[in-house]
Amino acid sequence: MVFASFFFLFWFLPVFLTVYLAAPPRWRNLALTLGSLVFYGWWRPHYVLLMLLCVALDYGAALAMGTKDSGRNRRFWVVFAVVTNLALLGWFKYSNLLVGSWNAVAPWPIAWEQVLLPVGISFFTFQAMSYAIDVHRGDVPPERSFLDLLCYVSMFPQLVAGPIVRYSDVRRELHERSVDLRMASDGVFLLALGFAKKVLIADAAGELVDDVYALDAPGALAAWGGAVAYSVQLYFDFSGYSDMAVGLGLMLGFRFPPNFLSPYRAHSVTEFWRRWHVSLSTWLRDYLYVPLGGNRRGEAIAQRNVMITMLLGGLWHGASWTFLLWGAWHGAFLALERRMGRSAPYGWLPRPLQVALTFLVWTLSLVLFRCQTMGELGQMVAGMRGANGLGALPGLGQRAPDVAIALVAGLGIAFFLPRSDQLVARCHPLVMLGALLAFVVAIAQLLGQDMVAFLYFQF
Amino acid sequence: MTTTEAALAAAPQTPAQWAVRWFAVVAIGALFASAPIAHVVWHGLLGRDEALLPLRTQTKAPTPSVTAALDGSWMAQTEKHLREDAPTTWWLRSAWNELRYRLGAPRGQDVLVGADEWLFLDYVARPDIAGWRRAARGRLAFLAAVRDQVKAAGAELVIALVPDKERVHAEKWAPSGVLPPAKSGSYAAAMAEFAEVGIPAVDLAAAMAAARAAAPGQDLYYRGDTHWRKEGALAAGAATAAFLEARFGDALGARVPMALSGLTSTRLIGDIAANLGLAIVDLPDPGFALVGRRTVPLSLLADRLAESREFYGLQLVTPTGRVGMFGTDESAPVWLVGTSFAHENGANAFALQHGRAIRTTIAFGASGLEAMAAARPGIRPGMKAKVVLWEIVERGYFDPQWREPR
Repeated sequence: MVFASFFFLFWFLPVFLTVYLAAPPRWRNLALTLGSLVFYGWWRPHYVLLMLLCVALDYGAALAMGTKDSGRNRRFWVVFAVVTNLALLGWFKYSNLLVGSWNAVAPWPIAWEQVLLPVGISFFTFQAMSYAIDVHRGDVPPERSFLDLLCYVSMFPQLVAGPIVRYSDVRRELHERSVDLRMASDGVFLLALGFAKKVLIADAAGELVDDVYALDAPGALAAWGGAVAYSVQLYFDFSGYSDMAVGLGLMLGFRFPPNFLSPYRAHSVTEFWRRWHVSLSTWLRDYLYVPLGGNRRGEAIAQRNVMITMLLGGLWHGASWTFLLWGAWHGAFLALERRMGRSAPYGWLPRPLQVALTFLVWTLSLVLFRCQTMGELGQMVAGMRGANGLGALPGLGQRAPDVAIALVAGLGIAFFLPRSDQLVARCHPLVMLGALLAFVVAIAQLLGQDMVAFLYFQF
Repeated sequence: MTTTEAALAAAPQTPAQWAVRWFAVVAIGALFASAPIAHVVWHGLLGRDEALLPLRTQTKAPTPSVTAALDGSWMAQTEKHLREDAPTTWWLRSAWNELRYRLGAPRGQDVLVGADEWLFLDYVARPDIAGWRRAARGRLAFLAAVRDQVKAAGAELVIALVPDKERVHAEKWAPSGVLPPAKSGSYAAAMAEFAEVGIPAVDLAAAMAAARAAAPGQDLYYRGDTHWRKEGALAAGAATAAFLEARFGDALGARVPMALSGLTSTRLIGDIAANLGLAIVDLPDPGFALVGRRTVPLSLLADRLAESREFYGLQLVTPTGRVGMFGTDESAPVWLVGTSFAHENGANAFALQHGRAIRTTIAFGASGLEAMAAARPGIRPGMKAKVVLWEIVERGYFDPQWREPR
C-alpha cells in the first residue's frame, strides 16, 4: 500500500486510527502491528512471512546474546544475525543482478527465474540488523516481547521507505506513549506537507523526467532540464515520504528523527551527506564506516573506508552497476574533501556559489542514479555535453504548467524555505492553513488524474 | 532536534494556533472518514447495491479468492472499486478539474483543448508511424485474408476510412491548421496500404474536405466528442453511396424510396469532454445508444460543454406503408460492418443516400476489428451481400490493435 493513494487515506487510515485510538494502551502495539502487517501484505500477502522470519531471527539472536555481562558467545549471535539479514537482502535484491551479469559474459549461463523484490526489504533488514548490533554493543537490552520487536520493525509509517528508525529511538515509546492534540495536529500538518510535496512537486517534475529519459538522443536543453527536474523529483518524493512517515508517527505517539535537513543548501558534498537521508548516512557511519576502522587508522585507511561505505551505500539503493558508479562518485568527492580538510574543492568561492556547485555535483550524480543501463547513461551524458545539439525540451502539452510551477516552486522551497518540521514547530496559523489547503489540492490532483478511460472512449 | 526547535516545540500556543490545530484534526479527520461512512451508510445500513453517484469509471466489488489475494489483483480491484464508489472522489475530482479548466490549465486524460473549446484526443495527432510501418507485414496479411474470405463468399470487400476529427477540423486543433508531419500523411499512408492489398477504399477525408469547403460554417464533428455530427455522417454517406454506385451499379439493385423517422434529441456530454473529469454523472438509459446509459452534466461548466445529439431512424416507404429499417435484412446487397460512427447516424445516412436497405453489423471499436470479428462467421458462400463495406476509423487503424490484428 502506498501513502499517496485513495485507499490509504480514505480507508486504511481512518479505520486503523479508529481502532488504534479506541484500543486500551496495552493493546495498541498489537493494533499497530496488525495494521502494519495488513499495510505490508496488501501488496503481496505472503511476503509478510519474510518479514516475520527476519524479525524472528533477530529476536532469537538478541535473546541468545543476552545482556553484555551474560558471558555468552555474543559475537557468534551477532554475526549470525548480520549474515542472515544480509543473505535475505542479497537473495531478494542482488541475485538478479549477479546472475544477469554472469550470464552476460560467461560461456555457461545459469538458467534463472527473476526474483521479485519485496517492497521495503532494504529498510526492514537494516532496522532489524541495527537492533541486533545495538544489543551486541550493549547499547540496548534485548527486547523480551516478540510483539514489541515486530511492532518496531513492521511499523507502517516507516516500513517501506524509511526513515530507518533505530530501536533506541523508539524503545521508550514502544512501551509507553501517548498522543495529545499538539502531537496529533503536528502529525496532520507534516502529513499534509509531505503529501503535497510528493504529489504537487515530485510527481509533476517527474513528468518531464520520464519524457526526457525516454528520448533516444536528448539535446542539451532536454538533458539538463531532465537532470535538474530529477533532482527536484527525488528530493521532494523522498523527503515528502519522510515527512508523511514522521507525521504518521506523531499521530501514533512516536517521534521519529527528521530525515532531511535542507540538503540542497549544503556547501560541500560532506555537508550534503549530513543533511540528505540522515537516517541512512548515520546508519552507514555507525554500522559500516566505524566498524571498518573509521578514521582511527590513518588518512589512507579512512579514505578507503569512505569509498567502501559509499560504494555499498550506492548498491543499497538499487541492484544496478549504475548505483555502484553513483556511490563511487560520492565516495570520490568525500575522499577529496577529506584531503582538503573537509572543504569542497571550490571552498574558496562565495558561499552561494559553493551551494550552487554542490547542487551541480549532486545533479550530475543523479544521472547515474536515474539511468538503468550503461547505454541509457551514455545517451544522457552525450546529450548533456551537447553531442546532440541544443535541441528543445520535450513537448509536455497540457502538463506544461504543472511541470513549470513544480520546478520553480520546488527549487525555491529547497533553497530558500525552512524545512517542513521547522514550519510545523513554528505553527503559524496562516501557514498551517495553507498546508491544509495544499493537502486537499494534492488529494484532488491525485484523484483528478486517477481516472480510467471511460467506456465509450475506449472503442 | 536543535535547542531552538525544542523551544519551539515546547512554546505555549496562542488561541489562533490552538484553533488551527483543532481545525486540522477535525476537518482532515472528517474528510478521510467521509468515504467509509458514506459507504457503510449507503450500502450497509440502507442496503443499496448501486453507487450513490453513478459513474462510468465504477466497477463492481471483486469476488475474493485466494489466488487473487496472493497475486495482489483482488487488492488492486478493491481499491479501484472503493475509490470510484466514493462521492468524495467525485466531488474532489470534479471540483479540482473544473477549477483547473476555468484557470486555463485543464488536465484531462489525453484531452487537448483546441480553439473555441474544441476538444481533441491528445495522442491522435501523434501516431507512432515508425512502429505502425514495422508491423505492416502482419497487417497486410490480415487484410488479404479478410479480402479473400469475402471474395470466396461471392462478394467484394470495400473499406470506408473515417477521417479523424483533427484532420477534418485541423484549424480547431491548432491555430495554424497544420497537423504534425506524422499525422498529416497518415491517412494517405493507410489508403496506400489498402490499395497495395487490392482493396478498394472510399476516401472520406476528401469527401469531408469538400463538404467543409461547400459550407465553411458547418461543423461536421462534435466539439467535445470524437464522432461526427449528422452533417458529417451525411457527407460520408453520400460519398460512400456514390463510390459503390460507380463501382457496382446495377448489381446493387433498384433504389427505393426512404424517409427519416424516430428522431431523438438529447443534450449530453461527449466522450472527450467526459474525460476532463468534470461534474457529470452517467444515468442508466436503456433506450440510448448501445452503451445503455448517457452522460449528463451536473455543473454550469459541464453543461456548457454538453451538446445536443440527434439520432435518426430510417423507414422504407412501400405501397402498403412504411417499414422500419433496422439493418437486419440479410438479403440486402450491401453489408455494412461498422463502428460507433455507423451507430452515430452513419449507417442510416449511408442507407438514405444509397437508397436501398442494408444489412449492418455494428460493434464499438475504432479499429473496426471488433465489428469484423463479429461479422466474419457470417461471411461465407451463399450469403446475399455483394459488397461488404468495412468502416474503419483512422485513429483506430493506427492503434496497437492493428499491429497484430485478429
